[in-house]
Amino acid sequence: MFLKLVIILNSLAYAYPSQLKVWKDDKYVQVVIKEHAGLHLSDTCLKKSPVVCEAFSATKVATKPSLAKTGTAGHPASRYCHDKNGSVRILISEDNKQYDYCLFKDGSMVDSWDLYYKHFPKQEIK
Amino acid sequence: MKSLVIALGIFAGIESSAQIYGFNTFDSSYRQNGTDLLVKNMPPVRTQDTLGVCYAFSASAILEHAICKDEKLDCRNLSNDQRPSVLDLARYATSPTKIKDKTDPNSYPKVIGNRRTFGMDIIINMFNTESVSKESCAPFDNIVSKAKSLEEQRSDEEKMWLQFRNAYDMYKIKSKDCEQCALDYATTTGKDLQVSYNLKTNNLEMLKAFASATYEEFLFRALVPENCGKIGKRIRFFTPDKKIGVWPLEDTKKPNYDVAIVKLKEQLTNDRPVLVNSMCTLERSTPECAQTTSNGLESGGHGLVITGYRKMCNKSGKCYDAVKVHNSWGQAWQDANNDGWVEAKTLLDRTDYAYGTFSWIEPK
Repeated sequence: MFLKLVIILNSLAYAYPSQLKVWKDDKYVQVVIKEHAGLHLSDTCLKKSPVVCEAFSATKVATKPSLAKTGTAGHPASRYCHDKNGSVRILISEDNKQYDYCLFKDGSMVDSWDLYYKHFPKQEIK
Repeated sequence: MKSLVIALGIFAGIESSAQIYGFNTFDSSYRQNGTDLLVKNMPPVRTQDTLGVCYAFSASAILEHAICKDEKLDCRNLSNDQRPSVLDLARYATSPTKIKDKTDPNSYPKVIGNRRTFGMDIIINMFNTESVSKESCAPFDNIVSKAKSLEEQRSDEEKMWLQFRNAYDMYKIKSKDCEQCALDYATTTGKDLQVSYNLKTNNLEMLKAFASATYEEFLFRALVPENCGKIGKRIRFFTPDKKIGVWPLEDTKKPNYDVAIVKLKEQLTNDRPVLVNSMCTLERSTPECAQTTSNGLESGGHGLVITGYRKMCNKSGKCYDAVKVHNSWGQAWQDANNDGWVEAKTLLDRTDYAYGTFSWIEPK
């Protein structure tokens, strides 16, 4: 019982926000985020079924990643967003947490780490 | 036998260099064992975008934590007037021995992205100068997030930092043949950059930026207005009651993981976040952290902050040390990696335990 409560509280603490804000025209504007197929996408992607938007399409096929040449590792997910012909946006939650998103020409966005890990999965101890 | 599953790129033709090494998470069979050591009141994680300034972000996290402790602030809600500017901090990433007047912030090179990239130097130089520009003077996320319209198609496909690089390179080419043409170019392009990226630098400052001797200097002058040096635009950081802790103190007798984890836990027990100067994220971890690929030379050094320690065990009694990483790769990286809790030894072994692998701020 106690363990269940801890798990529930833990999941609430790390719940992904359903709304984020982005800096636009000198002020922050809200962006609604929806989850689909394990990806966090801007809601514009999910207005039609099946899902059609460039952000979602970008997750289908891996692209050869460019290298970090600046002397440091840089930011792998942001670099990969550029490799996908997207541009990086920093979205902010109500509690000031920053999320990297990848913006595409049609205005759709996907969480940059979702995009990266879709093609280059993490290492996990089993 | 260590049952580490390394997931490989799932598509043929993708080089293994895309993988980030050193951050091994635990599957759901592992649970926390015992209580953890956790630094309280850390600021929210930020993201460095594609600019290679992890060292400035990690130093900023350490400094913000110290400022919050001093001034009894809730670090989760700092305004941009209360936190250090990461762009201004970046220029403190230089050896203090090369600086004429270490206490004068103006003595430090006005550059972003020089080759010496250690967060520890930034902390040392913050102790020397006791001041840095406020984030509100050159807000990093506003510059990066500046979008004309989220919906409108991007007519300009140039990537932000590449656009800055190209602008500077083109100015240099033009200035070789025709000074007036170069000035006209700097005026027009400077204005474009100001509008496109919400820069707070004025027209004259942009022209001065173009006249910089190096790209790194151009970038700093373009992004950080000159008035960020004025007293009202700066954060004071009082140090008489503090000192910098550094470990290990020498390079000759390199310690091992067992010594490192004890040192780390000692700081965390005292509520001190620990700056890890550099760990290697490439497949093969070497002190220089660079590897040759078919696309050229790839680099993979990364600076970060450790804010917690715990033991993780599974039902069969297999246990690992875990540390909590406060990374500059945004909240989504934290979320995707169990809020930053990763296996400790793999990460720490990638620091090479060189001089100053760990640094922190402690009372005198």
